[in-house]
Amino acid sequence: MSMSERKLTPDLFRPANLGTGKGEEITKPSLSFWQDAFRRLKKNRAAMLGLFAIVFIIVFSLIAPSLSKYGMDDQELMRANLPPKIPGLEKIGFLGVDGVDIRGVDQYEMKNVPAEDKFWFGTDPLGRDQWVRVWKGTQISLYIAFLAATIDLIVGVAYGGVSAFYGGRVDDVMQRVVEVLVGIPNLVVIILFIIILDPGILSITLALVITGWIGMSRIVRAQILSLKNREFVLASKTLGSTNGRLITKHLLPNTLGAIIVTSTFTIPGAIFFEAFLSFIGLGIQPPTASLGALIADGFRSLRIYPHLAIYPASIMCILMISFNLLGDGLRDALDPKMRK
Amino acid sequence: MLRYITKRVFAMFLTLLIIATITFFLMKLLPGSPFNNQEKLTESQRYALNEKYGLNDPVPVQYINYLGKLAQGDLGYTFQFDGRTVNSMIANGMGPSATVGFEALVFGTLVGLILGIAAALKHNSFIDYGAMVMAVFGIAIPSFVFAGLLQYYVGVKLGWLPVAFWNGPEYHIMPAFSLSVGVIATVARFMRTEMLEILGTDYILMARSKGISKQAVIIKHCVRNSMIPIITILGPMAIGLITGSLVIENIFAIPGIGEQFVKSINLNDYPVIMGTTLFYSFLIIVIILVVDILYGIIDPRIRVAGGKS
Amino acid sequence: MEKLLELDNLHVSFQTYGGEVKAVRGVSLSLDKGESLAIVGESGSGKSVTSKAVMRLLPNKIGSIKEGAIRFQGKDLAKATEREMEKIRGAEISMIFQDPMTSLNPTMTIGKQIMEGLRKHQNMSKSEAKERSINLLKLVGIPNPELRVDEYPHQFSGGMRQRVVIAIALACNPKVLIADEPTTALDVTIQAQILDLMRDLQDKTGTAIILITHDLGVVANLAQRVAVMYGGMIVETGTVDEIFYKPKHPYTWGLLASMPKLNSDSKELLAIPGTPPDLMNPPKGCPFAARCPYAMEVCLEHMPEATNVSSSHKAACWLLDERAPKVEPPEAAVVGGAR
Repeated sequence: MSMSERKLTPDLFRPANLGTGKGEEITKPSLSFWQDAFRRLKKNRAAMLGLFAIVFIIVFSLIAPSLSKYGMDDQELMRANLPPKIPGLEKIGFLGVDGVDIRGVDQYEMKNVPAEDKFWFGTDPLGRDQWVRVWKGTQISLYIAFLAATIDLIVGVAYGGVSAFYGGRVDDVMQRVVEVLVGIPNLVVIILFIIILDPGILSITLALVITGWIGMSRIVRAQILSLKNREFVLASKTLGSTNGRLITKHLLPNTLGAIIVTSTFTIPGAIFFEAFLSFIGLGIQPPTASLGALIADGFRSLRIYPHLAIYPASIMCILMISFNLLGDGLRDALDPKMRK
Repeated sequence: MLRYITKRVFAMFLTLLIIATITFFLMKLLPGSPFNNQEKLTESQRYALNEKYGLNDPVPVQYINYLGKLAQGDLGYTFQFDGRTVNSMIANGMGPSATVGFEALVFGTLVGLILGIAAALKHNSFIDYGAMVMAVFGIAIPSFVFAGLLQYYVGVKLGWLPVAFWNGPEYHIMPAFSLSVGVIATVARFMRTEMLEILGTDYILMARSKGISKQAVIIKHCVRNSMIPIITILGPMAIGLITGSLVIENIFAIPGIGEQFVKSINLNDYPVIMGTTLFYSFLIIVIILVVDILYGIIDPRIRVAGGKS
Repeated sequence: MEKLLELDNLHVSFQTYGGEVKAVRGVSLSLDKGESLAIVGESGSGKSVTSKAVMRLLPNKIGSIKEGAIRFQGKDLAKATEREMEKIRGAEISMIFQDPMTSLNPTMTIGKQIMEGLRKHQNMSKSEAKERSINLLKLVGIPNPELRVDEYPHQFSGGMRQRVVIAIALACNPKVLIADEPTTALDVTIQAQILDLMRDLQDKTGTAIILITHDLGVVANLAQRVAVMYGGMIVETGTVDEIFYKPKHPYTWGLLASMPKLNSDSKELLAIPGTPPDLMNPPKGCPFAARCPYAMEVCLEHMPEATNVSSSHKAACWLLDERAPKVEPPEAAVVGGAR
């Protein structure tokens, strides 16, 4: 149906009745920044997988310990060092959860453990249920990490925000302080503080926070400094907005993306340092245990009782990877320019 | 440039002084002297020991003495072995520590560069995704967890490599590789992002519009320019290596500084803790300083700007 | 006369997440030896894509030539291999980009960047290439070329950098120079200098120029012929005089009307209301119909064909059909009074 063949009727040459606004019509649905960011995040399969794994592990760490009738410190030397035995899966040999240790001896039989007692992750050298200890440890690691991230966030945002917002001499003084602190390697500061404060949940968190907030404060400061002189902020200022309104309506919402991304990366960092401290003997002290402490203990008897290290190590790896995937996804979704 | 370096070196010594001061007073805050725990000692022996190490002097005097010795590079005596200095302990451990660190850095950077370049050139391909999955794993999994797993599977189960100790080249492989995983991942990711950014710039299009072959453009313009900013992550990477080495040396029983440091923490050997802490601080601060200066020298944009001001 | 470069019904598409964007939809153009042709249009009209297609520098995986031919001295570049293109780029056809701040490699001396093409296409030795680079820098009006040849791009101002870019583009005496908005990123005073330089160099070297711009002032300065692009198509072509004084397409009227005039009483700049069409789902009829004040029903349904106004002047508009009502261009679109 070529149009040159078809006769064009004269009535086609009447002026077309175009709606007045047709040319101006916006053809695509508009999305707010957060809707758009969330849509991008949802599309990122790796990030969603990470988010799912994190939620799963958090929920599981809360309910899993109650699935066992043993508590965190229920010692019983008669059932020490039992390999894992999971009902249902014990028939499948290669999973290694049939209660047989690496020498091929069924430890449950040898130690006369009652048939109904099955330790899903095995037991440690003091006969404590490793299942309970691992999930409690996960709780503690996550607790330390979230606490550290929250304090970092509060201190960092406040410090960076004040420094950038007031600028001038205030900024000068505050930044000189930061410069000195940045020069001190955080490894050194953390170790020194733990030595002084004695290892415990609170002291480890504090040690992490002492240097941790600086990163956050620098990012917030940089963001607010660049936002402060942007036209929309100046416009709002010209229209007589108060400082409070400027901060809550313009500066903070536009910095939020960077803050969220930074916090997401603070958490795996804190989990790492907590585990690191356990390794060099400055971690959580027994009988409490964190993932790091469990892994450190497990590595000492890795050759004979690999199950002691493998389970907490796997959970820690999944957590670390998940937070990194989620952080990457959030960064891509919230601030494509920050990608690095 | 010279003024900048002078300023930085001055700031470096100031930071070191602050660290030394903090370290000293924190150690003084700890209750009692290190000899209190050793019950075998009589009161007079303990007094003699305290006298010998200058622990009976008033704190300000101790502080001045401490700084004076520090200025001469003397980090004091260890409590573990009679008469051995912290300096000699660090000197003894330096060899293995530096060797592993250097091997990990070189190997990790090389592999990371190759992976990053390949991922960027084959953007959105199987290679790209594979390399980036590996990079996320490498960044997320702590080197000591990786080391432990490697030691168990490759050392114990397969028996391909010696499980621990430091007796020859084959003993280097597992520790150096464990340490390098983070380096590989960081460098690969950084290189990929840099490359992708530069591949999209006008000057790459300009170079191609001159008729230069794609390969030549990639090597001469893209890889070269992407590698310059890699220098900026050398500092954080070196810190990561030092942190990792503390535990890796412990896991593989390598007689390095890190292993001694961890041992001294468990024995409350304060002079060694203080000395090694200061040594690490010094190392890290110097590395960051050198990296910053190096970056200024290599990047022509900064080089000239610095020269003019 | 043998055409130097001829585009025949060129179609270029981009594969994006949202679907296929038909950026160029059937562009036909020709360029004679030593001629200068301007392609004018607003952003997104497909003018830059057309030029990159000629150089075969479309982004690798997403952009592709769907249909049509690019004949350069009788050879179809649309089907040329990468190796063949390497011989043509820089030596036969070269390109100047919009932003001189980003089109030079910041870590390479400008001498080296000029020498690259020379050494590739003319097999010059290092010293020969360097000497030629110095001469080229002198030619484009850079003072102290012997010293500046070893300097880095950031040591040059924007205008100076664009001169360097021009020197690079002209290094191997190409037959065609494609200038993609060569003055957009520069200060107004520098713009005039660069345009003067380009006209001057064209007189000296006889290079044909394709000038891509949205600035009609630049067109009047440099071009002999003009092609007006809209929605991935050419809506009107003609000589500069024909386009400026006897425009036939309502879009061209709109472009001319939106140009600020010194002698006009009107205080307001006239804008063309509306936005360019969505090239993911291009309209069936004339791409400009939705914004055209004279649109007829036929415009919405049927694509207008290019109609000859004179031997050199063509426009694709239904208003030129004999059945259409007679419409005079609005007063604001008349340049310097009716002729």
